[in-house]
This record gives sequence, structure tokens and C-alpha cells, in this order.
Amino acid sequence: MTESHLGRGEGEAGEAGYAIQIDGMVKRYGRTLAVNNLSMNVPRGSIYGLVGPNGAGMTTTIRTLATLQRPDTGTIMLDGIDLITDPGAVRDRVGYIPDAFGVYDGLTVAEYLDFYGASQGVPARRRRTLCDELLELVDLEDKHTEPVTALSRGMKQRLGLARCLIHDPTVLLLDEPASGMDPRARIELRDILGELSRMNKTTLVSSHILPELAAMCTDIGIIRAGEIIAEGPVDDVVAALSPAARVRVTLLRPEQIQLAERALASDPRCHRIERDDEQTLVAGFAGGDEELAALLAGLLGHGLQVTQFTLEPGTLEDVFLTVTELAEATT
Amino acid sequence: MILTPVGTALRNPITGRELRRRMRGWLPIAVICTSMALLGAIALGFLVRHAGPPVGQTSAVGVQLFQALAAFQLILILLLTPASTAGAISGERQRETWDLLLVTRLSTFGIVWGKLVAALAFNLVLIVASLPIFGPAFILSGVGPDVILHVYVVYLATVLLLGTGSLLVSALTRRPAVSTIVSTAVALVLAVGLSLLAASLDHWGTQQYSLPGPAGPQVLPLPPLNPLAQLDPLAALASALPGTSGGSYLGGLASVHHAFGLPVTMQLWSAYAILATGASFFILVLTVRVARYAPGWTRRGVG
Repeated sequence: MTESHLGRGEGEAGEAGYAIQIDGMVKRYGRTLAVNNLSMNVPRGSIYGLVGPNGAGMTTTIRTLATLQRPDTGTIMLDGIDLITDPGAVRDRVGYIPDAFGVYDGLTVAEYLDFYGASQGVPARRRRTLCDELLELVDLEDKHTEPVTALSRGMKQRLGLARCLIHDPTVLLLDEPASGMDPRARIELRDILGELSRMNKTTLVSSHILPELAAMCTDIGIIRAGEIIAEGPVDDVVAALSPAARVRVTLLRPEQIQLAERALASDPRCHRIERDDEQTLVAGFAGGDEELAALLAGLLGHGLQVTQFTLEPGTLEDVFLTVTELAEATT
Repeated sequence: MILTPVGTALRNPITGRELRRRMRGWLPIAVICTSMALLGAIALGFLVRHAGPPVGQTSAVGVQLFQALAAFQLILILLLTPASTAGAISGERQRETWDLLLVTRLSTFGIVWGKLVAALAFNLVLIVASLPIFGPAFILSGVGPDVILHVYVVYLATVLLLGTGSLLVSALTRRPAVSTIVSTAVALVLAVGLSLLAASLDHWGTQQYSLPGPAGPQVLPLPPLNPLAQLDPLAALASALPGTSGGSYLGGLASVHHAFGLPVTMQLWSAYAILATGASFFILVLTVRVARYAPGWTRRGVG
């Protein structure tokens, strides 16, 4: 279905292949500085995760990109269009899901989508087919005649996704889209976003759930106190900023665990050694493949019977904690 | 295609959706039926009370009936127009659907206009539905069609003025309950408060123009009708009705000698209609200006 409608996204390349470029954006609410000289670049076709603590400026950034408020200073280009001077053209290219969105009582699911289709200027003859296709995409095809208010929160979120796709935008702005969704719905959302990304649609998504972002995003920006403090492809950011990978060692015999602890402690590349259970140790590890092989050889050299030896890369959670703590320490 | 304001006004999806929402369920039917029942009861009560009047008094009874119905209809408009309009934008904010409208291709004017048309449509239905109830008064009093027309012009101007005013209040508030209370208060102040104030000022003005004469004090007619009356729906209605006198407030006249502060003479009801329409246009423009970036509402976005 998506081939027939959701084709826009290719072409119209912005500068350097970025769908969104923000430079030096500042936004104040009275005395409160919500966004402080924020700059970020969202590659075209990416799923860009915006992550930060509460009050970091994520919602303000997304609402500004949705043209719901004006920045005090700074430049914002979306699909090569200046958001400040031509917000109408930006609206034409943006689909927006707020963190909390309401629905109209007294409207059915089909009427709801039809209304937004009409509001987005979709011709009446196309709207019916389009609504069917979008409801199928978000797995709500059997809810046409249901009142919108009768849908669960997860269903409403999926309906919101269908709504924001109805005018075939090139950029999707999703503020906490998975909030309230059950695990199955989250997996489906991830699949839908992946599908849209393959069609070169760009998605900017904010969330506090870091494993979820790590699973669905290609790029990430960490925001703190209204500033982007780290940005790039997820793997690159994690590799560059993760404090350390972790090595997990499982022994055959529990009585060898103290010996294993001493062996790990004697290796300068290991730190923060912790017992996971009576046969398993987890330790922070800083080194490459050769150092890892040497560590295993050393453990075996101590006569330890190792049944499992795995290297766990750093997680987005580690990176987030490290980066935000570092930023707090320097301010 | 970006919808132009004119195109939006002609084919506005907001209007369609609002009408669908407003006209569904039992409430709109109940409001219309109750209003018509009250008007009908007044008409019936009048006819029963003045059953079989002597020939020659029939016309006077008919005029009184027409006055009573016209006044009651205006009171209904004063109460129902704010109630049906004031939640138009604040209700969207409370439901958290306002932002979703603002990010569509509809212009802010298109959204506000669609809201206004839908809200006023309900009031227009009420006004049109009342026409048959005026029938007996029309037959008994011999009131001409021109008078009916004048009265309905006052109604339409009042609906437009209160509708746009309530929409502006709605754009400036978050809760429909607050906007409804404020809008109704403004409507009552406009009708009752303005009448009282204007009458007081007029009385004071009349005293200033009283001169002693050979047959007692001579009250000179006020050259300009009190300017406040030009924005007063009750005064405008009184001037449009047959056989009414506004007393010193209207100066016993139905004409404004200095309409809008200019040396122009016209009927008070027509001066009111022109002024109310102009004010409505100004308020509509103001509402469009504040609806998108209403001060204070973007603060919710911190985060």
C-alpha cells in the first residue's frame, strides 16, 4: 500500500543530505531558557532519536519544527526550506504527533482521518482509499466505524501516526510516540518507522526509553539543558562515548569465583568487577580484540574452567548517563 | 496546494466537522425545542390573556405580543450565542487537538472562520425556527415586513458580534467553562450594563439641557443620541420595534443624528447593525492574530 501513497521523501535534497538543519536556536519562555543555542543535523531518511532528561528542551524543539512556535533566534531549515520565513511550506512537509494528543468525541475513526485529509487538502475522491490504506498500515483496518474515543491509548497513537501520514510528509516529528503502547504495539511501531525510513522519509523521535530508541534509531542526539551535547549514528556515538564495554565470564565451578576475581583484578584493562551470580562475573573492559584474547588466555592460565566468555558492548544508557553526568560536572 | 483563505471559507472542513459534532445527539434538538416551546408559551399566554379584545384593540395586543416575543428572542440570543461559541477554541485546547489543527495546511483564518460559521449556524437555525411563532403577532398587529426585517437585522448583527467576541475570548483562554462564563458576562454587560450606563448618562445629559420656560422646565432634545446606544442590542431592538419609546435614553427617537461620531443621521438599529458588523470584523482579525501564538499557551511546550 505504501508504494501508492507514501512516495514523497526522495529528492528535494537539503544541503549535505540533511532533512533538518538547526543552527543556534534559542527559545525562552519568559525567564526560562528552554533551548540554548541548539544546533543539530538530521540526515535524510534517518530515524533520529532525540534523548534527554525531562525539561531538556526536546518538546520545545519538536514543537518549533512543527511550526507551533517561533524560535527567538537561530536558523532552521527543513527540506531546504527556511522555517522562519515560510512556515506554510514546512507544514506541507511535516507530519506531527504530539506527546499527548486528543481526539474528537462524536467522530468515527474513518471520519477522523477523512477530516484531517480534508484539512491537509487531500482531494475527496482520494481520501476514502487513502484512509483504508493508512488504517491497514497501522493495523486498524477493522476499526473504521468505531468511535475514536473508544480506542485504547495505543490504538489512538497508531491512529495518530496514520493521521500524520495522510498528506505524505517527508519529515515525521514524533514526541514520545510509544508512550502508552504495549510491547507488541511498540514492535509494530518500530517496523512501521523502519518501512518509512526505507522510503527515505526522515523521522525525528523523542523518547525517554533508551533501549527503545537504540532499537529503532539510526542516529541519535543527546540533549541537555537545551543543548545538543552529542550527535551522530547510534553505533558511532556508543562506540565513541561509551565508558567501557563489559566482559562477562561464567565459570564451571562456583568455588573458582574468588580466583577469577583476583585474576581479573590483576589485569589493568579490567575495572568495576561485580558478581552477577555465584558463577558469573561482570567487569568493565577497555581494550581491543587482542587484549580480550590475552585476558581469556590469562584466565585459562590460572586454571579456571570458563564455560562462557563474552564481550558486551556499551549501551546507549551508559552513554547517556556518562555524557549527561560529564556535562553536569563541567557546568 | 496551500488553501487560500477564500477557498478555505468556501470549502472549510472545520465547518463540516463542527456541524456534524454539534448536531449529533439529543442536546441541539433539545435546545431548539425548548427555545421554541418557551417562545410558543409566551405567544399562547398572551393570546389567552387577551382573548377576545374589543375591535380596535386587536392591533395593540398584537404589537405587545410582537414586542414580547422579539425581546425574549434577543435574550435567547444573548445567552445561547456565547454558550455555543465560547468553547470553540478553548475546547480544542482542552482536548489537545488545537495543535493538530495548526499543523495542517489550513490557515489560521480558515480555522477560526470555520469555527465561527459552524457556531453561528446553530444560532441562525434558532432564529429561523422562531419565524413561524411570530406569525400570530404578525397577523394581529399588522406589523409590516419591513419591521420584521429590521428586527432580524438586529438579531443577525448581535449573533455576529457576540459570536466573534466569544471566539476571541475562547482564543485567549484554555478552559471552555472559563471562556463561556466570561463571554456570557460580556454579552450581559453589553446588553444590560450598557443600557443602564447609557440611560444614566443620558439622564444626566438631559438634566444639563433642561432650561426654565414659561410653562415649567423645558427639556431640550439631545442633539446626539447617546453614543453608547449604538452598541447596545436592547436599544437597537427597541428602536426597530413599533410602538416603543426608549424614553430619554432614546430621546423618544429612533434616529441617530451623529452616527459613529459623524454628522450622519440614520435609524438606531441600522447604526447598530453597521457598527456591530464592523466591530465583528475587527474582532475576527484580532482573533486570527492571537489564536496561533496566544500568549502563555506555548509555555506548556517546555520539555
